Amino acid sequence: MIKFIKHKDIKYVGIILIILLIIFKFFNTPYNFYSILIWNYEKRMQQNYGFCKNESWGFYNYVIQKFDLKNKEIDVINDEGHSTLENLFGIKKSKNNNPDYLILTNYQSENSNTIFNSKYEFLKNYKILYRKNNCYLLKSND
Amino acid sequence: MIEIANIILQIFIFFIIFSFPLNKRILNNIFYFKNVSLGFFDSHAINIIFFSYFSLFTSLLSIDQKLFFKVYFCISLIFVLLNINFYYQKIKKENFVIFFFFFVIIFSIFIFIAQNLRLEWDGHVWISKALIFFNNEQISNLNETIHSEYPHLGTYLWAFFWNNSFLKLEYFGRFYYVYLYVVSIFLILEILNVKNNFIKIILIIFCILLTFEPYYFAGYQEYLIFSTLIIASRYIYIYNLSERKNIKLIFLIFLILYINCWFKNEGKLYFILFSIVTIYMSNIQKYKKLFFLFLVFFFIFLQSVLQNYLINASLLGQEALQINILKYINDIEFLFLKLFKIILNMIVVYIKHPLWIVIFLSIFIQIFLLKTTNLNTKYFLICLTLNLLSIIGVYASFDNIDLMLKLTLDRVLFQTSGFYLVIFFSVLNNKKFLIKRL
Repeated sequence: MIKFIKHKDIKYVGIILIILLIIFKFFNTPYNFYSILIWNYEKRMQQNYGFCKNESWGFYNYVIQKFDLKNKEIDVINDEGHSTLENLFGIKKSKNNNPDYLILTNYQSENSNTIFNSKYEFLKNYKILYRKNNCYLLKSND
Repeated sequence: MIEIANIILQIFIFFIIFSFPLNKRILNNIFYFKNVSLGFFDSHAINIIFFSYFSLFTSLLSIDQKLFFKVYFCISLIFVLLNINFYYQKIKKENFVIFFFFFVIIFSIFIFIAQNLRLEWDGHVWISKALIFFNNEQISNLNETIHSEYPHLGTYLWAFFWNNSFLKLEYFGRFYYVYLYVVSIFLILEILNVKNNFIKIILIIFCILLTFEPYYFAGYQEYLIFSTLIIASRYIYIYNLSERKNIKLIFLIFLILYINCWFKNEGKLYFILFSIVTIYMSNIQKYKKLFFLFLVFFFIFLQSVLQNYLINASLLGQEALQINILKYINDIEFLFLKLFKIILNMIVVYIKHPLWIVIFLSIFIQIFLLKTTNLNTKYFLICLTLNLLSIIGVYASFDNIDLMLKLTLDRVLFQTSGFYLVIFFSVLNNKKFLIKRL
C-alpha cells in the first residue's frame, strides 16, 4: 500500500498533520469539541459564569425559571463587583426605587451579619424568597 | 452534537452569504490591475464590507432581520449555485490546502468560543445594544442603553447572526467577528510573494498566534476595527504599488475605512487619519483630492447627523470628546508627567501584544538593515506616527489618565496594530530577504 503512495505525498501529509496538531493544540480544539459534546449550553454557561460565584449565571437561571420571573420588575446587585447579567436573561432593570423583586448575588458578610443588617438598608423592605449560599432572591413586602 | 452540527452549518452560511455579490472574476474585471490578481479572499473580504454596509442601511431603516436574512441568503445561494463550477475548480486546482486550513482555523475558533461563552465587562454593555436588534425593537431605543453614543453596527451584526442561527444562541452572533478576523488574516497573506502554500499556512498561524486574543472576542468590538484595517491595508499596499491614480481603488479604500466609524468611535479618528494620508499621497488631480477630502468630512458629519436624528445620541457634545489639552498647556511639568505615563504604558502594551514588537522590528530591518524605503513603508510610517501622536494627544487630554490608560490603552493600540502588519510582509517580500529564496 505504501508503495502506491508517493514519497512526496507522505511528506505533504506529514506537514499537514503537524500543522493541524499545532492549530488544535493552540485552540485546545479536542477538549472544546469534547466539552460541547458532553455538556449542553446551560451547563457550559454555568461553568463559565458560576452558579453562585463570579457573575452567578446559574442562580439567575434557576430562580427565573422556578419563580417565573420573566417580564417582572427586578433589580440586580452583585455584591462582589462583577457585572450583572440582566441583559443575558432579557431582564429590564427596574427604574423604580422599590422594585418587586431583587436578585442579590455574592453577598459579602462578616461574622453574624445578615442581609437585613447590611449596608443595603432598603433590604429591610424585602423578604427572602429563595437563598443559595450567598445568593438571594428577594421579594418586596409591599 | 446538534451544536457542533450547527457550528459547521454556520461556517457554510457565512461562506454562502459572503460569496455574493462579487467573485474573483467580477472583481478583477472591475479593478483590472496589471501586476496584481485579486483572489478568493479579496472577493470574500470586499463582500463582507458590502454586507456590512447593507446591514447598516437595514438597521437604520429598521427592516426586519429575519426577512433581510432570508432575502440575502437566497440571492447569495443562487449566486453561488450559478458559479458552483467556478468555486469548485478554484478550490480543487489552486488552493485546496489553503481552503482546508481556512476551514480548520475557523472551526477551531468557533468551537473555542462555544466552549468559552463568557462575555467580559464591556461585552455586557454592547450586548444591551445587540438585544435591541435581536428583539426587533426600534433603533431609537438604543438611546436607552448605556453609552448610547457608541455606534451600533457591530452589535447589529452580532444580533443578526444570533437571531438567524437555528439554535438562537448568543455566541453564534459573535462568530461574525471571528469569520471577519480569519478572512482578514488570510487576505493579508496574499501580499506575500511566496507560492509555497505551507509557508503561507505557517505564516498565517504565526499571525494568529500573535493576534488571537480570546478576551476581545467576548463581546468587545475591537476585532471589527482590527480586521477592517487589515483589509484596508491590503488595498492601500496594492494602491501604493500602482501609479496611484486608480479612483476606483481610492474609493474602495475609502469605503473600507469609513465602515470603522460605525463600529466604534475611535474608527472616526482612523478614518480621518488614514484617508487623508491616502488622498495626500495619491497622484490624482488637486480638485479630485479636494473632493475626496470633502467626502471624508461630509461622511463624518453625516454619521453624526444620523446618530443624532435616529438615536438621539451623538458623540458631539459628549464628555468623551472634550479635548481639554489646552487646559494643561501652561503646566509643562504636568504635561511631561502625563507624557511619561503614556509612553510607559505604551511600552507595556507593546510587550502585551507582541505583534507590535514584530512591527517595530520590521521597521528597524527595513530602514537600517535593508536600507530600502519604498512608498508603502513611507505611507505606513506616516500613518503610524500620526496614529501614535493622536493617541498621545487624546490621552494627555484626559483628567483621569491613570484609569483610562489602565482600562483602554491596550485595546486602542491592539485595534490598529493589524494595519501595520503590511510592513512585516513588505520586509519578507524584499529581494535581499531570505524568504524570496523559498
